Amino acid sequence: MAHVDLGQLTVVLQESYDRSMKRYVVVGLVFAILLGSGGSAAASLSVYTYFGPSGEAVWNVIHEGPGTFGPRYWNRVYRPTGPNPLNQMCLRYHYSDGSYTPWQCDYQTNPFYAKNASGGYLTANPAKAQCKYYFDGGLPSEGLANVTCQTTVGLP
Amino acid sequence: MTLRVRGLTAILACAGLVCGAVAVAASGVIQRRDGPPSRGPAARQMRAFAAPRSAATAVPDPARGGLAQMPGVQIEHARQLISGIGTQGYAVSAAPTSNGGVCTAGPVGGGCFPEFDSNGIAFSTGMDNDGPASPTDRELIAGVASDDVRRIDAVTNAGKLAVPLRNNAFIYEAPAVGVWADALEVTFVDGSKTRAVVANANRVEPIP
Repeated sequence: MAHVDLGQLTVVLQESYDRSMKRYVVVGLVFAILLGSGGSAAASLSVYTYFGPSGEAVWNVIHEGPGTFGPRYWNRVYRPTGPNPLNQMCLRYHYSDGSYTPWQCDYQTNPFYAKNASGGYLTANPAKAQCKYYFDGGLPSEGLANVTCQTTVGLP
Repeated sequence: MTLRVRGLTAILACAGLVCGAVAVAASGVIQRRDGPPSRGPAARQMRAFAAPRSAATAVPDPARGGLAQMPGVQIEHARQLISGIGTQGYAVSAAPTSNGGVCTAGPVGGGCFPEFDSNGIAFSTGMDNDGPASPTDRELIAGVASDDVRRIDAVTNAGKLAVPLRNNAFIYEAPAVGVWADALEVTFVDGSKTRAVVANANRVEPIP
């Protein structure tokens, strides 16, 4: 008998605990949704494709975007890689005062990201992102297919 | 090597080791692409990923954050491979990917690659300045190397210069303005050598 009572008491306690937990979960979910919507309003980062997605980059032709100067969190390029600079793409930022960051070039990684001195994303604001296909000794008649250059609009 | 031209496509295939394709296009734009020789997954050729962790191998936050966003990266296995090189103490970090590739983060770019080329290295090229370009900028090259690479030299217009190479990574900063690398000479553990062409777009770009 004592055993049954103890069992019932246990069950009652368990039900009460479950109800409390459900309340906490509901409150937590509402809080998370509110927090998430507030966070997304503050971080308006979006990916912007300014060349491609299946573009053919012609040698030493600079592609730039978006149309207005703004915060750019990163700049990257996707393209077929190759074992020599014939598949090299370069990235840089164009600042609103007319200056530019140096080009960063690569022919082996995909995607390839521009980086800062610490190895983090190269971020610029206000700026436009640029990319181009380049290798020494190239000609204006040469191009690289299936190139996609992307940057971000906004900052996280 | 593959040469392809848009539009009408004519392919000339050569038997044996060399295969070439030539295509002629209405626009006249010639596309070039080389087929990479297979060396196997890159991560297996970098013993630095298996080395014990230490304070020196911890990846700093800026590089870690960038690596973590790359496709398929196993960030828990990321390592800083080389650090404290050059005027700004440059470093290179890397992490293996789920398919055996490697993603890198260095001072002049980063990204992912599945296999090393036959030259045993993967690198990016830029300048030792990540702000607006300046006449005082010097060339900077950084990358990773496979286990069978023993030594790297920069073949420059000022002679051959040794490149710091540690734990499967290397960083070269030109000793002076106007010193440019034409190639990286790679010496393998068996003594054989090869060269990777360096094509730095800043070499011909006027600074506004």
